[in-house]
Amino acid sequence: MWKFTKTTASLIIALLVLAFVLIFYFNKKFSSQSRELRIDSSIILVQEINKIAQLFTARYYDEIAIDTFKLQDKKTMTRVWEGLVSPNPLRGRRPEEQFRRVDLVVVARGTILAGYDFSLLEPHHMIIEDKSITLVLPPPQILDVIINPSDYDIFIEEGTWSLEEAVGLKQKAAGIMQQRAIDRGILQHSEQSAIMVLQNFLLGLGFEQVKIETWDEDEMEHLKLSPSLE
Amino acid sequence: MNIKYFFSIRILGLALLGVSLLFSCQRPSDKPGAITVRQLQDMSEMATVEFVVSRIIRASDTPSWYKYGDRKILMSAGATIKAGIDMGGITDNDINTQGSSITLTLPPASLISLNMHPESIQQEYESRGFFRSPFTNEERYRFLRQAEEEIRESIPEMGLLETAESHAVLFFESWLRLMGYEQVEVRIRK
Repeated sequence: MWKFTKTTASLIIALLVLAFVLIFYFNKKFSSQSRELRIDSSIILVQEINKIAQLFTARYYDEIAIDTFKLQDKKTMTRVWEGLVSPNPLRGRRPEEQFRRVDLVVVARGTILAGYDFSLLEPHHMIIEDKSITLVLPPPQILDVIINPSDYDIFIEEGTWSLEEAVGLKQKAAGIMQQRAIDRGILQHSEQSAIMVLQNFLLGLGFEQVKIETWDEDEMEHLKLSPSLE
Repeated sequence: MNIKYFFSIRILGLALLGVSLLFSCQRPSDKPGAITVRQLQDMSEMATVEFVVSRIIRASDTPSWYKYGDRKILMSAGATIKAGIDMGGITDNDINTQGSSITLTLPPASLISLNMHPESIQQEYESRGFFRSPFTNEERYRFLRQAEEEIRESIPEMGLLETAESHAVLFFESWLRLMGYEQVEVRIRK
């Protein structure tokens, strides 16, 4: 004859605790690996329409892996487990026993666009004498650094990281890529490419002599304060 | 009595051991090395318009038979879209000059860039049930990728290319007049 003893009660409690822990764990683990979640439909709002005149003459593609880490409180389960395997009353006092290192590793692909802002041009930067033309351009500059969400893969995400932290890492990647593009000579490449494009265009217009020149930085500062040609 | 309790505690200990093994399985063992895919290319695009757009991103992860509690997230993101014409696509046949009059035919406008600036991406709100884990950045970026795709798909409806073409016509007209042409006609190739 079966009897409900304290042993049976203990076993039932132990099994219930186990079931609860497993449900809690699997629910958390699989909540982000389930079916593809779709965002709700919403309108795309056009906030501004700006008239610009930017001549893009160089494009640089780059891809980097970048990582960061921080210290986070150990999970309760980890602490319980460590307490079971090492029941030392002094355990948990040292920082390395209280915290764990968590990593965030991302792979970012970026596009850096360089060229000229023609809205800075003034009429006197175009000198025409009969069949010859001299065009004086501002220095080439980085016009866009693009790392869109589709170019950004989270490779490792341990612990809890906020969106701001992930975005911060993306900005760091953008800064590295921009510097690498400059080091690789994107601005010089942009200048050479612009000379070719503008020469072809102006020769096609019927000019026989085409000269492309670049301002110095003092003139750049002065022209920023003047009305544009655009 | 003590022996019975000892067995119960041992079962609980074994259960916890099993769970901790599950936790240890999810730890990644490897990290990527430095990847270098760098390329420098020529361009010849004149951007004539910039649209600044914004999108509210809402997502709900509702309960199902294996999930208890729901999760909701609200984010906002902005993007800058630039369009213009490819000056490399202007051939000699597109330029006709007769004395002080000129006819310039420009290639049709195209998309130059779409940039979802990192600083424009913000999380406005997040809520979750007790049994649910917070949204990971992998999930947040999955939503942002969907938003980016939707922005790309909506470009034809925005009138971006038409605006880029009309701005390009105005820009080249004013440029050609400064060059001394009195009669200027700038049109877009059909």
